[in-house]
Amino acid sequence: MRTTFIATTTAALLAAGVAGAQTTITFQDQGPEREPFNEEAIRLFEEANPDIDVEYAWQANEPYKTGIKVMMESNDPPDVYFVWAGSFANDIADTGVVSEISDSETRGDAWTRGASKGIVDQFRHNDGLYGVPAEIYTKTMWKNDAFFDDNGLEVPETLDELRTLCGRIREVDPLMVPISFGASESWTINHYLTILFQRHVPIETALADYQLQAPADELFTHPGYEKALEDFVSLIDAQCFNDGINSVTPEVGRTMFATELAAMNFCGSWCPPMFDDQGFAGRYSMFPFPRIEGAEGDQDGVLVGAVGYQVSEASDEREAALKFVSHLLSPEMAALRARMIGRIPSNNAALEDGDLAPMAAALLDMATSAPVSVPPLNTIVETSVSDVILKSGQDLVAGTITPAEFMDRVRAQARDAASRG
Amino acid sequence: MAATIRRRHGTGFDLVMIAPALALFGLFIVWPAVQALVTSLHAEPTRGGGFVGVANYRDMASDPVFWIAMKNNVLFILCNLVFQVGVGTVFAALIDQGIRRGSTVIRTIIFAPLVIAPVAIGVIWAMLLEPNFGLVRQTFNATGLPFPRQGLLGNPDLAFASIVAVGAWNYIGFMMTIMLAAMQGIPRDLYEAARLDGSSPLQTFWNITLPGVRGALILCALIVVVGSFKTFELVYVLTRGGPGNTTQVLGTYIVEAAFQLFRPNYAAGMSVVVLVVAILFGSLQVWSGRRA
Repeated sequence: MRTTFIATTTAALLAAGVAGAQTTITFQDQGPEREPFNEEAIRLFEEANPDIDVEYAWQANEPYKTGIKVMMESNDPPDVYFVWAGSFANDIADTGVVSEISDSETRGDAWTRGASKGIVDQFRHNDGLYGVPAEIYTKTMWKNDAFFDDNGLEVPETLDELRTLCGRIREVDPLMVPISFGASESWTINHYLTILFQRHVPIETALADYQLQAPADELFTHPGYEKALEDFVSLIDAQCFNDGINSVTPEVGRTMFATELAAMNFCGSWCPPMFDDQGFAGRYSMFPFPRIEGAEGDQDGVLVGAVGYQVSEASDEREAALKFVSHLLSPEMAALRARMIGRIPSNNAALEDGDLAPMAAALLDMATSAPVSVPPLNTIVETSVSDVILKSGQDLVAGTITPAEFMDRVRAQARDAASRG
Repeated sequence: MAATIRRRHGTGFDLVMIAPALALFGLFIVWPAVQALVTSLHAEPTRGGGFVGVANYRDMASDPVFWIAMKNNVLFILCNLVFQVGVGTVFAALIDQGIRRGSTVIRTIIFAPLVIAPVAIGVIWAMLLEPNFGLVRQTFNATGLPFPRQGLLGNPDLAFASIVAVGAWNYIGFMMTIMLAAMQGIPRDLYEAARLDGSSPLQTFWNITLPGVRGALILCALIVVVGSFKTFELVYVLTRGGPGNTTQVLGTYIVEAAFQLFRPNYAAGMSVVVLVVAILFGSLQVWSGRRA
């Protein structure tokens, strides 16, 4: 009797243990901006999947870029983590630490419903799928409406007009910076160069160069690159920007615009919520980056990139992780993402009128109607070449190299990278 | 006393006593160093990770950024020797001999920056040196002095000097404290005799103070050399090695190579170089300490 009792109790305890076994997955994201949405998405996921716990953490933008690579090389990488599509995501995939997830796509997990093939393709690499897109981002010019109206200033349609406008703003108000610009993190210079290259270099030529597919001795030889750099320098010479570009942070650059110390700003689709948080809501509007007369590239092209999530190859809970990714990036959560944090989801299948804030809707319209779009250089160009572009950008701003020397460096590095295969 | 204990317990007791320290040293210093060395002899994970011998070290020899970083490290050492040890010694001499009132307050003020973490110091100075609104810019404006267009940290000619200046502000107090302790160990009657012989303050400093603190000077110099060679936080927070690569030092370049360029094995090779140089200077420190 006693033996039966012990056996029954033990079996019951074991059964209870098995029934209550919790799976825990770790989720690492970038920036605090997604926190409210992520917490709500996790709450809904855990409600629907009581046997799975999600441990969520985030890091700010710049530390994340190095932090995630450290984590992925550790013995305990996060199960699900944020990445920028392109060379950033591909570099991590090349180390073999990323799970290939085409099985999730094939079986039609929730994230695949209504997903744009073009954007999903940004996560394909070496014949495999190494991530799921979450958001797209784009970048455009923003202006202080009241300042423009009060001073009778017109939106510049060409780069010449922009340079003239910079001088005009300096005359009207010597304390007003025409365009605030912080490049202590040099990716911000890269975004200017992405657009200027797009204006000056035909897209087919540029893409072949960026992906090192052109013959080695022809890489980055199109004269448009140098002209683009000359145009960039001409904006500095025209006093379009604030002082100390190289040591001003992007955050300070944004804040200068939102606090009306600058008349314009070149900022991404992530910026309107930040401007609004600083009390600038309703007092700014967007306009396209100016065309460049006579340039050979696409004059109406825009910068469009994607971000998303990868699943770690080392994950002990791959299926739970995929389940979470599928939930997080489902069309319904995409709509919630748009409503809660104002980001432009990559999957618009469940978006309804009003889900996207007017500014985000306008940005989405701009991105989808542009004849040509290119991701930022630092996410599409081979990593070592991208690093040379990033570093040389700061040198160009400091005036220690010329556009010709800039391109000499880029060509040399591109040839070297191409020879390494 | 120690000899008595050793006689009583034997060599086995010695080994047991040092075992925890040895284990920790092996686990946290030797093993990672061996790992770094082994890693540096293999290709990057993105290129298969196979054994490549000294290929990473060959790459280093032809990498211009590595040499910029190495040159900056050497420059950093020289500047820090002059500004941290040199100025620290002068301050110590002034407090030891010249200043009669308020020396404790002055000592505290000069020493205070040392208790702040280097990263916090970097953040504070980045704000002070902000080129549009920082206190330094405001001071330049108020006094009518021209402020460099790219600011101090954004100007390739001034960024390195700015980092050296911030580093000196941070560590002069530490050097001063060591030198002051050494100076206070010099018998006072030597100074009295020099004064009776009509020696000037400069002659006294040169002929009595400096020889009297030789050991401390060597110690400070070696601390600065090793510290400067390993420097990372200040440069990373203030400029991240920029603009371009103008303020790149080995510490920042190692991080950049490992986690931005995704070349962890190449970065491991550079870490080995830093380790070897640090060991060389460390050995020099031990050797000179024994001689002193």
